Amino acid sequence: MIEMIELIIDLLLAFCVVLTAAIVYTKDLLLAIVLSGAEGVLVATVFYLLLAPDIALVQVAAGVGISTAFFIVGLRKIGRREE
Amino acid sequence: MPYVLVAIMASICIYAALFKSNLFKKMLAIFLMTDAVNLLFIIQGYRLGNAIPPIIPPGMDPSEFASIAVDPLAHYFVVTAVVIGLAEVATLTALIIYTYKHYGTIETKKIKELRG
Amino acid sequence: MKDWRASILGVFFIVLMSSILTYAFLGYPEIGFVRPLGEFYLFNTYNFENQSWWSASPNAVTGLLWDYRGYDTLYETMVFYVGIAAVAMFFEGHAKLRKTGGMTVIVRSSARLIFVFIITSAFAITIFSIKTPGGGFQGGSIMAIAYIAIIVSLSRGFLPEMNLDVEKAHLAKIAGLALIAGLTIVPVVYSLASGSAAYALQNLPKAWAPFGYPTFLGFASLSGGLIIPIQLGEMIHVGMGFTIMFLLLTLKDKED
Repeated sequence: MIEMIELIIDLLLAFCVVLTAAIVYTKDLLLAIVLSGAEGVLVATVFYLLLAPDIALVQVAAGVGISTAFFIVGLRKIGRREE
Repeated sequence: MPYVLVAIMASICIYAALFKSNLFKKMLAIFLMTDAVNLLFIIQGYRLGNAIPPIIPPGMDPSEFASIAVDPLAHYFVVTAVVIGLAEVATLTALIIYTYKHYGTIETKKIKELRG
Repeated sequence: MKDWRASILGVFFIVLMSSILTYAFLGYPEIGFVRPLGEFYLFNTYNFENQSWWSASPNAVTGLLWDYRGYDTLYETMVFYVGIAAVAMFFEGHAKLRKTGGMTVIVRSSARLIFVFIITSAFAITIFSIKTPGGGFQGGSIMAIAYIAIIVSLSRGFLPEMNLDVEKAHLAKIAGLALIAGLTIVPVVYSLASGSAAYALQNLPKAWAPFGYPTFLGFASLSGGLIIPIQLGEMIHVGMGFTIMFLLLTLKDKED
């Protein structure tokens, strides 16, 4: 039972590494913002599995909701899509 | 094993912050690096076995609670660090908008060739 | 820097960090291995027999935030305030706001309904932070999401009519900060007036400083001293701070 939770945490962290590499590699800035929101959700799940409910609340509210809104508003005034 | 994956994530973000020439990419890389460092704090505060989160259930002995619960000091640092990271992202966004209005471009290679 | 030197430096970073961290930590710690400082906080945070060091809150993280490490959180609030001031410095003149734009009727009506529920949920997470996970920072972030949903679905030009100016948001944020400052200074005033010792952010009485806020009220069976009002002040401060930043970022320039 405990080994299963460790395996799930390792799987989620490996998926986070793959998402980070995709964010650095892509040239489309809107795709990078959406992928960073998805990574925030995965990190919040890892926080919940490591018995930290306070921090899962802050990560979901601040890292997924507010940060994506700030990035999109900032992207509106810059040259839109390409790098 | 989780330490190795977090270290790989942090080094990918450091590489992107140093060697990519778009300012928006650098800001995104710094934001993801704070995410990785907060993960490292929580991972080293976890205890294997039948652990409980640091909230005492009613009717438990304090000495038994102190030997079975997860470290609360790690949670305290991460709660404030996430909010401060978000304020830093907002400040950097305002700076990037200001730079775009002044120079007309947002890549560091082209800003080096312009004259002030 | 040339390209091949850049890739060598990147590989060097990855190898160095992975090797250091794999050598230093070899897995999760065991269950009986608690550090002495963490054990002290866990043992004393809700201890009925030994009430000389307790903090009257079953949630150890909330007791750490505002009782054992109160000064650190106070300075962190100052840092956040300076961050808001830095964003407000960049935006000076803006064009006249138009009242068109916005989304369809379905999105507008559901945003108005959901706004009330999100604010209620933020208050509930903040007030019950002694017994359940939560607190000021969590509730403040959730409250900012409600205002951002309103700003995005209605257009920006309607908002000064609905009393959502930047000046009114500044006043609300200052009200939250004044609550925190007032509760910090009350023990100092008491100590100057009565002659006994009291510290500046003191929650419960100690052996050499007998000033303390009440812990057991009549209608609510447990209240952690000054923890609940200060969490409310922190929630208003953080929530209004994020709203001010978002309101300033969505203004139109004069050239657009």
